[in-house]
Amino acid sequence: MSKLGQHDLIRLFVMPHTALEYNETQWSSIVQLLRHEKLLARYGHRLADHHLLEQLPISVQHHFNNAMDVTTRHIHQVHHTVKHIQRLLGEPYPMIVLKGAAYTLLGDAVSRGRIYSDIDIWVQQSDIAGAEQQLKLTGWFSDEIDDYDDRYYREWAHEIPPMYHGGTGAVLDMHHNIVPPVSGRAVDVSFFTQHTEVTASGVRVLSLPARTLHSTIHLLFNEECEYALRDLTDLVLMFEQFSLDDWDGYLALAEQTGFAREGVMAIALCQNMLSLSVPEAIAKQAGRIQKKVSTRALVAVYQRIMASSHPLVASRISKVCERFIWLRGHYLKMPWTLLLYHMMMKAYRSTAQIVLGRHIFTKTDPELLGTLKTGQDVK
Amino acid sequence: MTATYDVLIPPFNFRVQTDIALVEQNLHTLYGQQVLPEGSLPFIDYHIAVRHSTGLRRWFRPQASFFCDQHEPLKPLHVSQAFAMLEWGMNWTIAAHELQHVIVHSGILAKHNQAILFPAPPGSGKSTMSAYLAFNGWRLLSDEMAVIDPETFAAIPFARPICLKNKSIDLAQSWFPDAPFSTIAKDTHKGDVIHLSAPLNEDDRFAPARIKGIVFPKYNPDVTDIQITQLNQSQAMHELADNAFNFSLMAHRGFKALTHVVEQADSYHIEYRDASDVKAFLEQEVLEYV
Repeated sequence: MSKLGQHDLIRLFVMPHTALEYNETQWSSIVQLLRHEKLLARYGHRLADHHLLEQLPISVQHHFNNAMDVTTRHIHQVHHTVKHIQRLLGEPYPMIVLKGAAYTLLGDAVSRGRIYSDIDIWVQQSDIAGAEQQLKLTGWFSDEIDDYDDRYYREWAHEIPPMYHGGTGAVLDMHHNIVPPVSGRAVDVSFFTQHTEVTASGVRVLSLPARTLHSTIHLLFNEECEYALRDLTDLVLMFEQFSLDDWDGYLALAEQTGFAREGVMAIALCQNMLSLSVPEAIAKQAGRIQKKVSTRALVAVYQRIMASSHPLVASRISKVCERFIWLRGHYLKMPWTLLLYHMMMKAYRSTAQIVLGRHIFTKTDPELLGTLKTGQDVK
Repeated sequence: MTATYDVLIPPFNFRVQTDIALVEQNLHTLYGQQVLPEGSLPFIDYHIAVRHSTGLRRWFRPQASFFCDQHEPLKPLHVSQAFAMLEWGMNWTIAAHELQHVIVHSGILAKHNQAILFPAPPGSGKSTMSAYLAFNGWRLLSDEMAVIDPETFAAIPFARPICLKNKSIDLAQSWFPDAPFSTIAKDTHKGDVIHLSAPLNEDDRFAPARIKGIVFPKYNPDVTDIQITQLNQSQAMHELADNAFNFSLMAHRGFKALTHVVEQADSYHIEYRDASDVKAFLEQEVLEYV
């Protein structure tokens, strides 16, 4: 068999029974790649569902089981932490749980074996300061960051610096939008108020089409594409749950929010790579936008970078594509004058840190915070 | 020059890559026959590497970086500490990934397939005592990570070199002048450290062992004779859970396993001056006569 690659991981997802074709040595690399892509647990569940996991070598099963155990255990922690946050914010600061944590709360197909490190929530922009303060009074804190980064977050970004829980180490990302306002593409607040549902445990999350669109934007309107195959499999697992109404809702929402192109690109990627079948009417509707050469080229670029960052499988082309996405992502998010300023500041600051030392921009720690932090380090 | 080896450390297979001669040399000294050419083992559990840090740090106060595949979980250390870093990196790798076994931060040694756990904080003389026992008829299952099967409650050997610190380095070198020692890594966060391989007995090196005792040792040069206090099960459980790496992630299985271990073992707190007293106590009072 030739060198393993992206193709093998994709085939394994679409046709799990191909799992039986690999020998133990090939599995070594597949496990390594899946772990790198944060997909070990998701694939483990898929193989188990098809009664294939038990047919694999014990050494291979061992790693799938490790990864699945981590995510299973994670479920309890996420439920617990979200409840805790909801209680703290309460009525005054209504929140919506986004991304990975929302999938977990819903417990649907996307949630099984889904790995993530932060809990993402949304609150109204006008509530951010109050909600942040409320959390900081009760055991959550942020890392000290320098003025430039703080300004970056506060003025240009769609989220505030991550907060950590002093006791459990949980990480919380608080957003007021799904894309940075500085990009000029921020979505209207109605996206968060009109397209939601409530989970069995009483937590508000985005509706299925809105969750899917958020995931689409996360994958296709971003400078980073580290876990692109994980994100694409998220998408396909959500699309597979779609009713006809959900399809209409998804496309309409993509159009309204100005992400029609990303919306159809996500469909195309799932069709081309993961054999998603799409209702005919929807395929036709999407096809009109997909026809544009630039959109097709962009889809092709994304196809190259799926599960292609590990040195075992990376190629010159995949690296060029990654670079392109990185540049495009930055360009999309910031007007070019600001982007230039941001890049120059970043370059200046890293040069200064090399020459003058790592802590040249670190603000002096107030004494109290210093001890708090030491406590955290010890843990 | 980058060298790559498959290293067999049951129950895991590692692939180790390094471009640091010191690491390669120590790897051979300490793991001997377990170091195999790349590709010898059909399945690799973990791909790890210790490499020179790139950029300025390659030449100016050179640093070494540890990688678990593409991930760099630890801060770089001075290049002279690179082998110790590989050992600590292996510990990190297992602690961060393994959930099929309960892993306790503890020394563990066995005689007649009856194992004693030695969970103890740094500075308690645990490693020195482990070295003494390992060279005097006991089998080292692990110096730092006791691996317990949650189904059978048996301890599984994960035999790695013993990590000795500061004053115990001279002591161990005088006790076992011909043993395989690593080079000394100076001024680490634990002080000066050296790694020492325990002798392997081919017959039972991979055999699991039943946990017969839990001993919390403390070296005290001021006691004349060994001081022994028996602990009750709840005290022992508390201490053991505190030392378990993956206790919370293992949830019920972890709790069940540790409860069972505590119930089937006798637990003691001991203060000693002479490691031979500990050996005599364990062999005469704790182990079942075979």
